[in-house]
Order: sequence, then structure tokens, then C-alpha cells
Amino acid sequence: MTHLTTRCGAISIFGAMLAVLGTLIGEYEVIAIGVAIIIYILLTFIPRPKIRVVRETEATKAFEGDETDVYVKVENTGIFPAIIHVYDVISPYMRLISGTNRYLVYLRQREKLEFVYRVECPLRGHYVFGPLMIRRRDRAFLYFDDEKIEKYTYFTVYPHIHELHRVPIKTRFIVPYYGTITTKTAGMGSEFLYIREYIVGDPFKIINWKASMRLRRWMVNQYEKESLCNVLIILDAREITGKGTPLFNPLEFSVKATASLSYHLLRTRNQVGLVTYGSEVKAIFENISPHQFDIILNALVGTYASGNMPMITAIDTILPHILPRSTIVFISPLEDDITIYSCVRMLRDRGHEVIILSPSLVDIEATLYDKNTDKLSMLHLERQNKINELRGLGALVIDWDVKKPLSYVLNLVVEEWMR
Amino acid sequence: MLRISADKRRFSFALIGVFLIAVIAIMPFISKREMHLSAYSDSWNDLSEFRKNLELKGYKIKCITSTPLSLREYNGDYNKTLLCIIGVERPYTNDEIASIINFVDRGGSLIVADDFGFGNRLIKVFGVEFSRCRLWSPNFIKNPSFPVINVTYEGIHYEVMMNEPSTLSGVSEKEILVETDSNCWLDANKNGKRDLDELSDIYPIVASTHYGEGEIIIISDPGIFINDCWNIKDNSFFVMALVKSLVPSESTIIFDESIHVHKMPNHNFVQVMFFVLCNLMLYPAGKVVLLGAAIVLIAPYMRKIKRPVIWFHRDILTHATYHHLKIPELKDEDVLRMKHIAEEKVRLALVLSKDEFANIDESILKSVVGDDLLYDFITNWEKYSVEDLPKIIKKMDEWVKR
Repeated sequence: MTHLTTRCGAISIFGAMLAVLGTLIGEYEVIAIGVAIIIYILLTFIPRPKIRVVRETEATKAFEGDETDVYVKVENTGIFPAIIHVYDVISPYMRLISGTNRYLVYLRQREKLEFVYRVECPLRGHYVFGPLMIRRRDRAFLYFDDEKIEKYTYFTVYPHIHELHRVPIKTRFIVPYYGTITTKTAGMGSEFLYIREYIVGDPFKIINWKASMRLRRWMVNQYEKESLCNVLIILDAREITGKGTPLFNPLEFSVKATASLSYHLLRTRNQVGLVTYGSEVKAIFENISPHQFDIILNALVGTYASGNMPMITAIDTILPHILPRSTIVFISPLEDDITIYSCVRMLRDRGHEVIILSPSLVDIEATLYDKNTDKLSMLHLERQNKINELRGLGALVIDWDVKKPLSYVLNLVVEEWMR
Repeated sequence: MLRISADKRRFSFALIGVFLIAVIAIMPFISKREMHLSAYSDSWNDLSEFRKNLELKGYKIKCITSTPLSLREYNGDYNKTLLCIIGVERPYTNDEIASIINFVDRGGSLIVADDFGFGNRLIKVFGVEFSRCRLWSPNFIKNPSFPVINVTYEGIHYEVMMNEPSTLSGVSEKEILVETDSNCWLDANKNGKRDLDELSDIYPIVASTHYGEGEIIIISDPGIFINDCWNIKDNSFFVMALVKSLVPSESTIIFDESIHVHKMPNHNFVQVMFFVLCNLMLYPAGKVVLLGAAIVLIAPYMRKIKRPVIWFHRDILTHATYHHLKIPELKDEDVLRMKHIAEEKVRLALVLSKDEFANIDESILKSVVGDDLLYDFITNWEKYSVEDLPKIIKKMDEWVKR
């Protein structure tokens, strides 16, 4: 739709007033000036040009922090030349690194404009480049006509995956295959468990020579059996988890942790599932298929902070489908949900190991606020109570200071166990 | 909010536009107003006979069709010019009145004939007014609407048949040229019949006055000039005598035709529109209507004026929203919250359930807490205010780390 600028409005009303005034006072010169102004404004109006747009991106997928080039071609396929303002809409969650996504250009018939710009994608998610906005205007900027060309390019940014070496997961559920998860059971593995006396059939390579010499009988090292386990990751994606900045909030840290844990566990041949809850419950149950990580990663890309569903609702929904004795990894800032305690109690009663990884919203807000207040001290005390309460219910709670990397935090827990 | 689509809005504006144009176009045709008293029309109620007689007598005839303002540019001999304003069908503007007065002031002669029209506004300047009340007489032709008045003017006796006349008021004795006989009465309350208080009397119907170098004759009935009455009784003689008394033969007579509503030029839409426009501009109410119409026409135009949005990419990656620190200061409710936190700390330290902790002995609690301030806060938190909280929080922090 063609709009008039304020300038056009002022000039045209001035022209009309002159014409009317001239008619009233009978001065033909005044009428002529008024009519001339109106005719000029009418002549300046030119029809909307026909524009064809082609947009291409360097890739259609990227990981957080990657950069990509966007190529845009704009062609005037109409019969009229036009002064156009081109603006390619970019998501506000992307950074424009180089080049520009807007141009003011005069295009003759069949003339093309080609431009390229580079964007950085610091946040995971599904993105759309476009629509392409075209603003036609005349030289005097009396008219403008905004046209939205519905040309979209879809782009996916996956969460960054941290390399993990050890995860603090233990299982009592014996799977008849070797894995990397310690089971507190003697067997073939790499983690030392205890020393025992040699029995017939033990391989010579596990004889502990020092202990044998000291005790004057044959002693062997017994290693801990390393097995496989089923892990269900429950991700809290309520609205509150999105507090902070788009990049620095509990949900983003939770998503990165989920992706990294899933990747590590699936690589070491464990079954991994994912449940997210917020405005609704979405579940991908435990599986070890080759595509499981892709499925989980795609689900994580489309996870946004929304809703205020309590955890108990999510657990009630998925409980019948959880594999017996599987390990539950619950990733949540533990805010504004009193049903967490009953959920942990219920899961523990059913024989599940419960590991809670909690990125601290209080720490995130304190970092962003950059000023220590008494309220923050009080909130820290409150959070500590929650963690202690959950630990009292038998869950392993990892209080994640998000300024430290996930692998570092997980290593600390494993080392604490080993001590 | 009610949202109307662009198409519907456009359709509504088009509908309103068509309606307005239709009303403006039809309005003149449905108007019942009759046009009369024109010197150039031959209808029974026009003045063509009067004009032709003047021409026969050697007068030069001119007319004003647009506005009497054009009198300002009159460059003839004022002393030999008579302006005839017969039947004032629209009010004169102040400028027009000023032009007419200026004309008289410079020596021009003026005849104003009106009864119930807008003539008062003009003749008030000369201290005379039309009474705007109907004059009745027992002496009439055909019906009482046509009273016959016996007139003596410049020593000659005339019988003049009038046509629903009015009378003059505010006229001094020496200004009266013609007056009625004593049998006439005035319908003062305009009820169309004679009441007891409506007594017979003598009323002035033609007066003469001077202004500047010019002379004015005011007649309270334009009907004596019309074609239908021209040849009845002595009307034509009387009228010609009046004219002759003002200007000699071969003078210029100007008819003000701008005061009459003309016949509708219904053969051309543009002419109709122009005609309606011109007529509207003559009345104050018409000007208001025109202004309203202009606003109605300009409004959709103004709606199209829009400030273009500035296109600029700005990321929102650093925009922060807070949950806990939306209000970073402690509030009154936080006193109770802190009490729960302190209780919970102690309970967890004692590894008690909530029920067990609720029934704990006060002495045990006091010994476990080991701090008078904290113990007092847990047991009597109501007496603490938000100002005390920083101290409590600090104590609690120390208690946890001990």
C-alpha cells in the first residue's frame, strides 16, 4: 500500500489551500501555483516495481558461535525503473558481523543488485532469514510503498557440545554388556575396586605383586565392572528458566549440558532419552539407535522457555514409560516448583538413581546485576536449603556455578566420589 | 479492539464518498425553493417588464451576477446610476454592504424593495427597517393578499396594487414618501387574522433618505415590480415615477441579480456542482457544511500519511530480564521468607522432618541455634522489620559457615 510522507502531506495540503484560496479571491495566479503543486505531486507517483529476490546461505545448519554468509540478489523485473530500499530481515538473536543487510539503490529495468553479509549465530534455535522488505520511494521522498516479499531461508543452529570424559553416573542395574558406567560390582573394568586373594583361573596380569610379597600369599587386583545404563534426562524448560539474557540464562546452560551428556552417553553405548517440560511435555524415550543423538539434538534446538508446568505433571505423564532402574538426570534451576521434592522421592522409591544438575539462576542474575545485595545473600541461603533438602532425599545434586565449564564441574563430582 | 480489514475500510470510504456526491447532486433537485424577481426572466414573478420599460425610456441596463463587491470597481457616473435591489433572497456580507454604502456615498442612487427577505441587514445602515409583518387592507383586488393603496406622489394620485406587502419602521416623518390610508392594519402576531389589539392605522410603505451624496428609496413590497402586477392599476406609472425621481433618462440602471436564487442548470453535472458550491459559500451554514465536507474528504487522505519505519538490524542478545532481582531491594514480605529460610537451615542441620521440627523443644532449638539474635528471630519474627534483615542474613551466613 502506498503511503504519503509527512512532507507530501504538507506540500499537497499547501497546494490545495492555494488552489481553494485562489478560487475564493479570484486570483488565477494563486490557483495556478496550487494546481501546479498538486500536479507535481500526482506526477511524482509512479507504480510499484516488480522485484524478484534470490537468497542463499553458505550452509543450512551450524553450531552455536558459527558464522555464515548470506547472499542476496534483487532484480527489478518490472518495466519501470525504481529507487528502492532493500532490507533483509535477520533474527534479533543473530549478530551482523560484516557487510550490510540494507541498501538504497536505483534499479533500471532488468538491473540486479547483489550483496552479501555475514552473521554470527551465538544462540541455538530454528531461524528464518526474511522476509525481504522493499521500500519504493520517489526522488523527493513524497511517497513510499513498503512491500514484504515472502522469501524465506531456513537455518538451524545446534547447541554447542562440550567434550566430557567422565560423568558422575552410577547404576545398580546390570546390563550383560560392557560399558563405561561403574556398577559397584566386581568385574572386568578399568577402575580399581579392591584387592583379593588369587583364585584358580584368575589371569596373571591382575596379580598385585607388591601386595603378594608383603602378605606372603597371592593377591590380585579386583576391578569394578563397567556396564551400560539407561539414562533419562529431564529438562526444565519453564518460562522462569529463560530469565537472564538470551545467551546467559538457565535454559541455555541446561540445553548445552543435555546435548553434551547425551552425546557422551550415547557414544559410550548407553541408552539415552529426553523429556522437556514447560508449556507441554515432550518426550523422547531411551534408545540407543544411531539416530538418537540427532533426534535429541533437534528436540533441543526447538526447546524454548515457556509455560509454568510443575514437574509433578511431567513425571506423572512419563512415569509409566520410564525403563525400570534407569538413571534420571534432572536439569533445572530448582526455582518456583515445590513439587520437585515429591518427584525426587517418588523416583527414588521406584529405584531410580536421581542426579540433579542445577544451573543457578541466583548466580546468573547476580552476574548480570553486577552488584551484591542483601537479597542475593538471602536467595543463596534459600537455594542452599533446597539443595540440602534434595540431597537428603537421596539425589545427587550438582550445584552448577555456570561461570565454570560443565566438564570441570562434573570432574569435580567424580573426583569427590573417588576420594 | 475492533479490527477492520483494509478492503472493508476502502469499501466504506468509497461508499461514504458516493453517498456524499449523490446527496450534493440530488439536493438542488429536491429543493422546493422558487426562483423569482430576476430582471432577465419572463415568469409572472420576475421583473422583465420593468426592465423592458426602463430600456424603452432610454435607460441603460446592467446587472451584477456575482457579488455587489464589483461596485467598488464601477467607473461610471455615480450621479446617473441607480442600483435596484429588489427582493433580497440572501443575506449580504459585511463587505458587500460596505460596497453598496460606498456606492451610495459617492452619489449613486439606490432602490431597495423587500418585505420578508434579508433586506433589513442592508437598510438598517440607513436607520430604517422592514417590519416583517403583513399589511392588510379592506380595499383589495381579488383577495386580501392584494391590497390597493391610494398613493399621492409628487402631486399625482396613483392606485397601487401591492402583493402581500409589509411596512417600514423607524422612518421619520420627513422621510416618508408613501403611506397607507387609515383603514389598514398590521398582523403584528403573524397569525393571519385580525385580533382586537390590531388597530387600523397609517403605515409607511415607501420612504426616501440620503446618505453621503446619494439617495435611497426603500419600498416595503417588491411585488409591485413583478410582471404579473406591472400593468394592474397604476403600478407601472408609480414605479417609473419613483425611478425618474432618482435618476434622469439615459442613466444607468444596475440590477443586483446576485441576491436571487437562479434556476437550476440541470443539464450539466459540473455546472450543478459549481452552482451548489457557489450557493453554499454564500451562507455561513453553507460554509460550515463545506468545511465539514473538506475535513471528511481530507481525513482519508491524512490517514495515508505515515512515517516510514527505520529499518535497522539490532540484536537483543544482551537484553536481560530478571526474576528475583526484578525488585533488588528487600521487601516486608521477605521477613517471613527469611524466617522460613532460617528454620529450614536449622531443621536440615538437625536432620529432622518438618513434623519433628514443629514439635522440637525450645531449649534444644536454642542450644542448636546457639545465637540469641537468630533464635529470637526464628521465634519472634513478627517484631523484626525489613531494616533488620541485613543483620539477620549476615548472622545466618556466619551460622552456616561455622
